[in-house]
Amino acid sequence: MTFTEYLTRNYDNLLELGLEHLNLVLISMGIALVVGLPLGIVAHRNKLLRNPILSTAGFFLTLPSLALFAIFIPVFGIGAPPAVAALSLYALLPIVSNTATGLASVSPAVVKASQGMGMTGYQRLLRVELPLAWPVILTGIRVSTQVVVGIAAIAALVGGPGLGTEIFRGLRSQGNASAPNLVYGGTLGVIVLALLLDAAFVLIRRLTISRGIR
Amino acid sequence: MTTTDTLTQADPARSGAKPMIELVGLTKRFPGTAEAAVDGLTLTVDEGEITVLVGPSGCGKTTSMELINRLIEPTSGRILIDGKDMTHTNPDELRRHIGYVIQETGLLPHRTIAQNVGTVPKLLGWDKARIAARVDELLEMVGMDPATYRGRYPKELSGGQRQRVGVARALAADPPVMLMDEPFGAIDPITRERLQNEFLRLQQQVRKTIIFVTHDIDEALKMGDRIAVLRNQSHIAQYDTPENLLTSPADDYVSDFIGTGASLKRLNLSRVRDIEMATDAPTASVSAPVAEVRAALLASSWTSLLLLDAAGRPARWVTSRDLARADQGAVLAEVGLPVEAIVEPHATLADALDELIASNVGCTVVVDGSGAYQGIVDLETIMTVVRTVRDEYERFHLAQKLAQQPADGQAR
Amino acid sequence: MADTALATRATGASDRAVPRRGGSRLSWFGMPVLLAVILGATYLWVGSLELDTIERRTLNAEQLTRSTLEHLHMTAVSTAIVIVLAIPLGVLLSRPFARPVVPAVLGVANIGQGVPSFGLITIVILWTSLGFWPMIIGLVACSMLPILRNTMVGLEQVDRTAVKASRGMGMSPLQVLLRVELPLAFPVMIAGIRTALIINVGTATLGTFFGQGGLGFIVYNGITLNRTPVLITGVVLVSALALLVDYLAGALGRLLAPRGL
Ligand SMILES: Nc1ncnc2c1ncn2[C@@H]1O[C@H](COP(=O)(O)OP(=O)(O)OP(=O)(O)O)[C@@H](O)[C@H]1O
Ligand SMILES: [Mg+2]
Repeated sequence: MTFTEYLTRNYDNLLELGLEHLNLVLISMGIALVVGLPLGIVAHRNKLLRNPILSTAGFFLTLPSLALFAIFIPVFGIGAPPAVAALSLYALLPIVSNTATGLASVSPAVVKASQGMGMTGYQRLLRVELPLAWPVILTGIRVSTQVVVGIAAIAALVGGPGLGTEIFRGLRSQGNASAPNLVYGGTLGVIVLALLLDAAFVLIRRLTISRGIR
Repeated sequence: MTTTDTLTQADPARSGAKPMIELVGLTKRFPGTAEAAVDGLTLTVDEGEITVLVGPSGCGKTTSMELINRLIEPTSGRILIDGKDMTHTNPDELRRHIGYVIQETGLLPHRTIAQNVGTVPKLLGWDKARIAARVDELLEMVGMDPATYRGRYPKELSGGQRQRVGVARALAADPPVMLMDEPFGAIDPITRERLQNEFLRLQQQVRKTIIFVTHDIDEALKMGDRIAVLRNQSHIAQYDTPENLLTSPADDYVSDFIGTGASLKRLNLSRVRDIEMATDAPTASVSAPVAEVRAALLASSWTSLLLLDAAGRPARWVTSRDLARADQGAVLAEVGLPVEAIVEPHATLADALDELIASNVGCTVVVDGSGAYQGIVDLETIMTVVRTVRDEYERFHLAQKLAQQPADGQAR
Repeated sequence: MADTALATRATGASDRAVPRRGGSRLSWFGMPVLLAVILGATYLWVGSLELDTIERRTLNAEQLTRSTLEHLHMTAVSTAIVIVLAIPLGVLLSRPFARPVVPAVLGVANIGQGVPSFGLITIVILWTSLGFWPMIIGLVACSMLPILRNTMVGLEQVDRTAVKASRGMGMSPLQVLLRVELPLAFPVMIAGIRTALIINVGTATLGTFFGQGGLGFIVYNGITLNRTPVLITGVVLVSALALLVDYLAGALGRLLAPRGL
């Protein structure tokens, strides 16, 4: 069976796995954002907590992916949950560190001017600091997403969903004539997904970054 | 301060003005520093006036300013605005009613010019239509066409235009009080001059109470109704009108700060209309017979005569030699020299001197609004003013030496 | 053009991802102490358990040592190779004659982040055979990009005036490269090497799926046999190894960094 035949026959299977993969990535990124953005803000505002927060986020990115997936198995069992937990932790550092860096790069003059106009701390954060830091934050989210898309393939090894299962299937049926197709299909699927997400980020950039700071 | 009823009528004379900003013993000591950045600043600013804080870099000007809108919380002392103690109000609320133009402009780069100018009105909850109308009005006021600039972003403006937007933004909610920290600091001298003039014109309309910070004494003399010369820690060396500052500086620090050329600077404070210009210059109509013109010239002590056109506007300077050429058939309106140096009465003596030096005849013609001849300013007139200043200055120093102790209690 | 800008910016962020970790006393001594505590605690915990025969088959000194050595072997060889390959290549790509291909390389490097290492190694194995060297090729392929990219970016951000001044003093291009550009690019390059090292430690965990053992063997045994003590031991050992390697690389980079940077 050639690769093209494999693709035409397994089109919907791959699509389904791709959607699973995307779902895994989106959920993990969602969690990472909900946790990471506030942590980044705290790291920016509080000098004492800055280093502990960044080191902890960096710590997770240093751990081997298989180890991070595995450690959640005793807690969540096999399947998607340990994968989501591990991927969220992986995604954390670029988000946290870019949020802190982005906020720190906002011109002090602009911050002072908004303060001088009587914005409260909350208004300043929401209307001035975050919008100005947004390009840097968005870059962090994008880097996280790329990292997570690739690593999510390993979720299959802990019984998780996604395109990694196709690669794993190919690996286990090694020697079998269809094995390479499965591996190519899964790997290519991940790459295509990564490219699509990257394109989405280009679009989000366009749409969400004010012309004044582009 | 006591009899408010007399103050309700707007009284242009300083004596009757009502104090708008009162700083009492204002002190700020930053944590971990040995000296206070601002030490016991006491200052009263009258309503509708521009008070300039001037002093060397690091003397505490910005800190003093930010104590007033409580961007910096004072260590001790009190701030009264319009008689009300502001030391314990909500600082965010306070700042919405004090316009602040910061040293570095600080426009929000991700917002359009209109959104920038409309920031405070939006914070105050104005409706959209009102904000839009106000924004256009203000852009117009600072000399920027709203249709062109409203939708632009700060990076799409020149430095001078950004400064204007900064001023417009501070004026947005019509705050009675404005703080301006070197608002024209980082721009070239020509643009700065223009912005200063435009701002003074604007101030004629809006009559805000303004504290204006600069480290440039010339800007201070130009902009200020009153000037506080500061030394380190915002200690006031002298708080006075520009005229008094120039004619009687309180001590060596102040006179050093004013620098050499105080007399020349004085020329910036005097207007042509305030001095006695020469009105005895011989004049004649361009259409008059040559003989009549010569008679007028001979009757005067001048060597040149000013020809005026039918509307009384200066046309040409002629000497007796030019008149001789007219005798030989030249047209009167084409002999002699064109009149180049012309000023209006509101021009400063410095302007008049400038014109004079550049001109071909050594005097400046003063005309009224419609261009009709009024009089002449020559070097002699200007010298008289300079001499008066110098004499007053020397007399003051002599008095100081004699008394050993300055009469002004503020100085050391 | 736009792609290059995005790629460089993304690089900046991801480089920060691994190596940034303050410069305080805590960062010199914190990590070794933390590792000692975790390893000690795990040892005590596992020691206190009644291990069944299945567990004992994996959790014995011999097996643990062998897995650790296998893991270190894979990591060391792949990292050495990737350094030897990627740094000269990065230097070549940063020379003026390579300028036209740089955007393309940076673009690929950017996309490369999305390539799943698991899939990549499997493909390499499929094309060759199971074995140590195919595994190493896979590891090198996975960790090539960060070193390459950081070498290029590091050299690119060297102050042009410093280079010009050195040429002006009569240094040859090679002398400028060795004495000015490489020392100035060193911190960024070392960050790339450190990233590659971490990737290799992590990816070597997959070695067990390709018959190469390593600490992944312990972890995966723990998962498939459903034995938590085995799983935890594997996770702790491999994580401690990664953190230690990262710590040592960071410390070495700081010691070797040219003064004044
Ligand atoms: N946040 C701070 N912490 C400690 N010291 C400060 C702080 N802000 C200002 N200072 C010190 O207070 C003094 C006054 O500073 P300030 O900014 O008011 O000077 P300035 O008169 O506005 O100077 P310039 O003309 O340069 O703007 C300076 O010596 C400065 O170093
Ligand atoms: Mg200042």
